[in-house]
Amino acid sequence: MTRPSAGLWPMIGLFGLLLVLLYLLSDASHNAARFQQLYIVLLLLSSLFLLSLLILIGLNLVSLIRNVVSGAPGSRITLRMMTAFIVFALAPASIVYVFSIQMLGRGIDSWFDVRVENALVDALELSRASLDFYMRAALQKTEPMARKLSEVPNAMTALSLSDIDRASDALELTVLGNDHRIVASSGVPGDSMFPRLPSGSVLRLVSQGDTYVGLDPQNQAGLQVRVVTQIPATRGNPEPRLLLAMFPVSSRIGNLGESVEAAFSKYNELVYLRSPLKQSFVLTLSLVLLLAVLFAVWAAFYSAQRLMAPIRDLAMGTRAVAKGEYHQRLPVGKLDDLGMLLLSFNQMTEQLSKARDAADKSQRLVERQRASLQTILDHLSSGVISLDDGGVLRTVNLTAGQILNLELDRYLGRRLEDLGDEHPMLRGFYNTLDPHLGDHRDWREQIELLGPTGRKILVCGGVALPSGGQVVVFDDVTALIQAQRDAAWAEVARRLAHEIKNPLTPIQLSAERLQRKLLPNLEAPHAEVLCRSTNTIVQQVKAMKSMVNAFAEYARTPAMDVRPLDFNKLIHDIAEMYHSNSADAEVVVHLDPAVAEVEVDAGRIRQLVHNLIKNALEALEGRAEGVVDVSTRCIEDSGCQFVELEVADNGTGIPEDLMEHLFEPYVTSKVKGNGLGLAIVKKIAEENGGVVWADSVTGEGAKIRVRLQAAVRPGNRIGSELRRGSA
Amino acid sequence: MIGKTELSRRGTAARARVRLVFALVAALLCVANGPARADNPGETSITYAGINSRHGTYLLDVLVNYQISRALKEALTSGVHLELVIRAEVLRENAWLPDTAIVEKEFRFRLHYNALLEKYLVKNENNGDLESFSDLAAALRYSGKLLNAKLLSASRLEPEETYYCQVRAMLDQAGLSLPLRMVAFIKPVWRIKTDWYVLPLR
Repeated sequence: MTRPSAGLWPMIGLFGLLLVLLYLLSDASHNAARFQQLYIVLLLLSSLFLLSLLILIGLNLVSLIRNVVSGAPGSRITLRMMTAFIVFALAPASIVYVFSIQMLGRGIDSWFDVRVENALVDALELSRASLDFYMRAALQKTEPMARKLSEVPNAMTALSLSDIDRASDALELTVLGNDHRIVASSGVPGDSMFPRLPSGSVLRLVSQGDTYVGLDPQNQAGLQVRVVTQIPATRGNPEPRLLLAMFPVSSRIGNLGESVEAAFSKYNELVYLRSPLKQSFVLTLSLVLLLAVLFAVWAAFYSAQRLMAPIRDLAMGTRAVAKGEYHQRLPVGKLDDLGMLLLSFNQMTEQLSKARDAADKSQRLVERQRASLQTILDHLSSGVISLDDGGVLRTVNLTAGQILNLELDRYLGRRLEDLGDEHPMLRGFYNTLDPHLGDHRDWREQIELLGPTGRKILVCGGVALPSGGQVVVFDDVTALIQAQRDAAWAEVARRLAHEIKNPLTPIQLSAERLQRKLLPNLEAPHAEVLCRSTNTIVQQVKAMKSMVNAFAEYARTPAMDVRPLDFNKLIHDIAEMYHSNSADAEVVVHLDPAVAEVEVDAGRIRQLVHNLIKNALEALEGRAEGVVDVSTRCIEDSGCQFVELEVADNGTGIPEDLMEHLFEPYVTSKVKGNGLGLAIVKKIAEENGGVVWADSVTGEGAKIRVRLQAAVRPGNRIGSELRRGSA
Repeated sequence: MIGKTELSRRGTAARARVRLVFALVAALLCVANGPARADNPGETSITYAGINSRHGTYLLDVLVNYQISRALKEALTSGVHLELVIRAEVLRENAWLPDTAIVEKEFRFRLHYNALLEKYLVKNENNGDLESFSDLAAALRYSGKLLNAKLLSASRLEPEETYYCQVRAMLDQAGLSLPLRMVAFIKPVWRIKTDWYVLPLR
């Protein structure tokens, strides 16, 4: 991009206009005609020019101050440059102006000299004295003429006047009557019809008896002496008359006198004009200087702005780059130092722009890949999280949150260890991961977590990332393992039922037949032995049948009849039965009124509650003050609403070694019982979407808790989803 | 005639405003001007003006009462020449356009003081006559008097048109020496100019 240089033309134009104006002003000062025509106009034009410059400078100054106040780029340096320019322009101009004014004053004053003035006055006086001589001579010549004419009557006056004129050197003689009418005239020039008369005041003066002698300048004839005197009255001429006589002045004397007068007048005029002359020169000089200085100031503004424009552009460009606007291109004028700088800046921004575009492209690619990866991860059935070496959660997928029953997205950037305080389930999870965080080897472990939905078995595997940290993949194999285990037990139960139940009936029948056939034939001691033995066989067979039936029951998968059920009512009804029938222990019930309905198979749940209460009562057999506490409550956990049933006894508790396999078939601490009670409880709970677990403190009793999903209501959908997910 | 006088008055007022603006601007520029002294000699005026026709020629008579300030008197006795001008114009009235001047005449009198003769000399620039006067008033009276000055021939007037003559007297500042022109432009005491005296012309 190239900066246009058109901005220079206004300045050149104004400068040219200024020069023309000053030239015309100077020219008009020397030419009178042009002065009249142009000087005032030029003066006004100059004033307008001056005013325009002042306005321009004012506007520039206001703009500059505003820029400085607002901290516009380059404004302060412009201000400094302007100050320097103005000082550099004003200082010499002021000195020249002051010296010029002084020189001007002195120059004009030097024109005047007292000696010259005195000489001129003397010369004038000398001229007057010289002319006085002519005037006196003229008077002396006129007076005899007047006396001579006094005796001449009016009728003869013309003749006598002609004679007198011829006898004298008078140029013109005229006799006027008392009424100032011409009586006679002699020597009047041919180009004039009448003699030239003096003014009325002169005539009146002379009529009163005085004599007038004066010098009269003539158009072509130079100076002449005019004498006006009264002709004395006589008896023949009783009316006084006036005699007018014109006498020549020597042309040399006249010329010299005129020359002296001209010089004197000129000098006098100069003396008079000294002050206006100085004022005029000062005005012109001031105007010229003011114009020049103001133009220089304005030019300085203009130049400073032009000079600063690239720097201002550069500053703005730098700010734009700082804001990340790399598309900024600065206008480049001439390829001087600043131009090269701007060019380099443009090249730099271009490179930056390209680099940013490339980075953006790469970032978009990475984002796309990341999004793809996230999509894949979110649709994996395995949970995936990544942690850095510090155990800070960096990445999670949807399944990870579902497995851990947490919205893990919310905890990104937090340490997994810290989350363990808020979510106990994560504590165990972290404890498993922790030993491997700094380890760069792959690992694989199976862990069990106890959470709000019960025990979870996770299979975890970790891989160290090249950038540090680990990616951990884990699967919830709880259902799988449970299914395997249940399938195994179901198979065992089915085989037991098939392999054991079939021979039991013949055994029982054979024992009863032996007793029936042999008992009558045996003597009392033998009969008693036989009877006791066969009874034992029959009872044991019955016991075994019972056990086999229980196993068959366990292995059976009944058709579920799921309906909404008032859980509290069910518990209350069942507990009431035990409350009235139980002799050894007391059954107390604590029902939470907030407990909602559950959607379960009522028959199966009824069996579950029976099993639990019966199990607790059996644990209290032989114990005084045994209490079975049956309670319900409402649980909110991980955004789900659950109904929890707790059956607690104050017996001896569950041995530690049984806790792990408590809900597996054939596990019991009691002498009696087939060990299927709690296994069936667990089976029913799971069939109805619930979980069961046990808490026990040795010597203080055991607590079995069953947690069922509350009936689906608005707000419980997540829980419902979770149940289906974990089923 | 009244209309013309009104026009003349308005024109004079407008010109006075322009003059005021000029004077203000010039006063701005002229930093060296001293304070103006009270030097008001009164208005110069045309006391009489008349036109008479003789032998097919219109002749103009004008009497001007010149009033000059002390500053001008001082300048005069200091050797400054003054040019007093009586300007006469004959104009044809136009309905829509500005009136057209068909005759423009200037009767110019050059007045100065001769130190040698100690007299005021007045030279009629139109005919070259030179008159000397011992006192200034007589010289000014002479300068302001026109008798039977030829204006124009009656044949130049068209019967269906309306004409009028306007006369004014003034000091011609162009005749002043250069430095005085600036002063005369700025200082009102140096300005001598009467309003137009309008005469009907039949």
